[in-house]
Amino acid sequence: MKKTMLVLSFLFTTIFYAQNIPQAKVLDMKGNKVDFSEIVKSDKPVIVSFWATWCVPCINELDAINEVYPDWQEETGVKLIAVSRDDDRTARRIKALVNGKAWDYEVYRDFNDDLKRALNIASIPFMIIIKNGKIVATRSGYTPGSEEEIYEIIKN
Amino acid sequence: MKNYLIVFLLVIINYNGNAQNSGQLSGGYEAYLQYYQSDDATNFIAPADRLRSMNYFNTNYTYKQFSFGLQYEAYLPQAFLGYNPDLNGNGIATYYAKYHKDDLEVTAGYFYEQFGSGLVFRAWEDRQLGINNALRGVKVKYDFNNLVGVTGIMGNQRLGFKLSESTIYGVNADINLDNIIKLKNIQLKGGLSYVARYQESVSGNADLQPVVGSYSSRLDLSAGNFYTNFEYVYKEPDARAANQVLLDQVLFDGNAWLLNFGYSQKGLGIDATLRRLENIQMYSERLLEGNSYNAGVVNFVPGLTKQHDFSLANIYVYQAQPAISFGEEKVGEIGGQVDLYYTFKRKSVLGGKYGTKLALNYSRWHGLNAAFDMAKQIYRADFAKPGELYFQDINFEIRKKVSKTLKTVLSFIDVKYNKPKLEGEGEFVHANIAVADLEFKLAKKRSARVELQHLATKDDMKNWVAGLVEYNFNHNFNVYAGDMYNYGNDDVKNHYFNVGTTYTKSSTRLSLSYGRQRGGLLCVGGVCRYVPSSKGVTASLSMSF
Repeated sequence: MKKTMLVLSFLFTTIFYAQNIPQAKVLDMKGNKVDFSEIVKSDKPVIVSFWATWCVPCINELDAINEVYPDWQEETGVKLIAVSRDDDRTARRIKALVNGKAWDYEVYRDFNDDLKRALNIASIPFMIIIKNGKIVATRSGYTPGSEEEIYEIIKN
Repeated sequence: MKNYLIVFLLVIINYNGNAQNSGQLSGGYEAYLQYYQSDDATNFIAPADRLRSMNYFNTNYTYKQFSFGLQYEAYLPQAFLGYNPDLNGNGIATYYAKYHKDDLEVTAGYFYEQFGSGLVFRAWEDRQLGINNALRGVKVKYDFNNLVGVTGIMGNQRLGFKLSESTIYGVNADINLDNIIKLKNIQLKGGLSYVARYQESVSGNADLQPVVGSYSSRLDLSAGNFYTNFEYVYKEPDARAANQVLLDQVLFDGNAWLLNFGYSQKGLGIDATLRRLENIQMYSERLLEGNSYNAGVVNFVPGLTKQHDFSLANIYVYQAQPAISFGEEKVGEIGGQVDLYYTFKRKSVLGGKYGTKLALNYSRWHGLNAAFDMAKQIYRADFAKPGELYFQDINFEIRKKVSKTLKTVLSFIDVKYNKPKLEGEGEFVHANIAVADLEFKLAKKRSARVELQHLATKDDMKNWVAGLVEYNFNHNFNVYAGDMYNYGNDDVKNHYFNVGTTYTKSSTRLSLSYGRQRGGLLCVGGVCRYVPSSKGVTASLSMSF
């Protein structure tokens, strides 16, 4: 128990750091492993949405953003990267679903859960917003209309 | 040993944490709290430890090419019902140190990894399922010029807070054939893996080897809008086990065949998978075979069906059938599934003002057709001829935005479930499920969601009806109430009600609920855990930094 307290007290004193982009590899839709830090590199804002083919609220959110995405891109230059958390049970569905839904996002897969662990994602939908190479906001869950709050963050 | 490591980690974190922000610290905390209440209606008797909590605290620290991390877990006084009872007490469950530079990555301590589709090896964590089968040992990865990526692993597998008595080791190569032979518009990847378990077992069968290996070979091709991939796995002869008894009279080898192909273009996607499994499950200790907590699984053999998100669609769920059972006359499975996604464009007849999205899925799984010699305890299985039907699911889903304030999801599912074969009891079930999910936007931040579900069947527990209303006061705070009611049968008519609330702020999520839990399978990613029927209060907190 002493050990635990030591660890806990320690960590809470060091919490206050701005989050950098974690080091992890993801799979692109052609099966190549790419560095996550490379794909989010941009001088414009980047939204990273963690989703899965079986997650209804995730798809609701991405469908909702897809409707306003052309406007967002025009106004802010934002790029949305959809990182799938599907494992090999459902991963084969990703390509068909993304195309079938006519999404305009860049799509990758967190194939060994490396990003999930690096970002401590407990549940999806989960979203991070990156500006100038730093994670400036994180969100968990989706409610109808919450995409407007994302727009507020990327706009400023 | 562990204590030294922790002190070492802390010293490093402290040293660098106080230096000019030169390293990066991150971490997360997840806590689940449950209070059990006895319930006459479902014959649920609260266990002696009524109040239980499960806590996961993990932290990672990265400094230049190095990273370190640990995960502390506390099950106080023990894990929830349905979890492995070995999960009790608390301690540092996993830790690691990693060096990563350019094409080289070396990890010492606990690590996660997957080879190919996982049919030979997958070490992963899923807290909902109570799975954490990380290996403790060494992992080395090296990427040769983006042509060949090689991974070597060796270690003991985590079993609760202990380790497996066996050693697991293996090697994997992912080969970018397209880069090697310089293909321009075609992606061609190959893969080879070998994974072995070393375990001495006391056995009267002299043929039983301490080393049992699995081999996988894979090919992955995509060109333009088409893609296909294939995997073949062979497992060397091994003893089986049932109820912690070694069955070593006859040794059986195993194999798996997986073929997937698809076509997609903007607005249309089709994907099909075929798979045949025969005696392919591997456990880190032989006697763990068939345990109900997924303890000691070395490879990943998911049920390949659509993972439904609605509660009534999760009553009859298919689990992969990779094992041999002479008693049940099962030796494996064969079948497949097809998915189709299509978008009806805006302003078309079926698309309407906002467009309509359609998803179709069909899956069908059979046992292998086999002849059994019960006296000699041997069998002979056909390669392609399907045996008895185990499961079938035909379903479609339509998503439509009706207006600026209303979005709908309609889903219909026709499911056939061979309960006697899959659960060893009961009758064959044929059920139809209809779901409507309505999302109303009420004001700038306020919204509501209504979910209506019905399951109709003349079999098993008969009909069910379910409803859920969720009200979002804003994007951070909601309340919900729902009920599932089993009607149409004479003996059991239970309401499985649930009320709860969720509060979310950035990555922090807090939830509280009260209700009755239906006993059944909880499945995540095609792996299932049995959750017993219960009643009580549940609270959870998750946060990250």
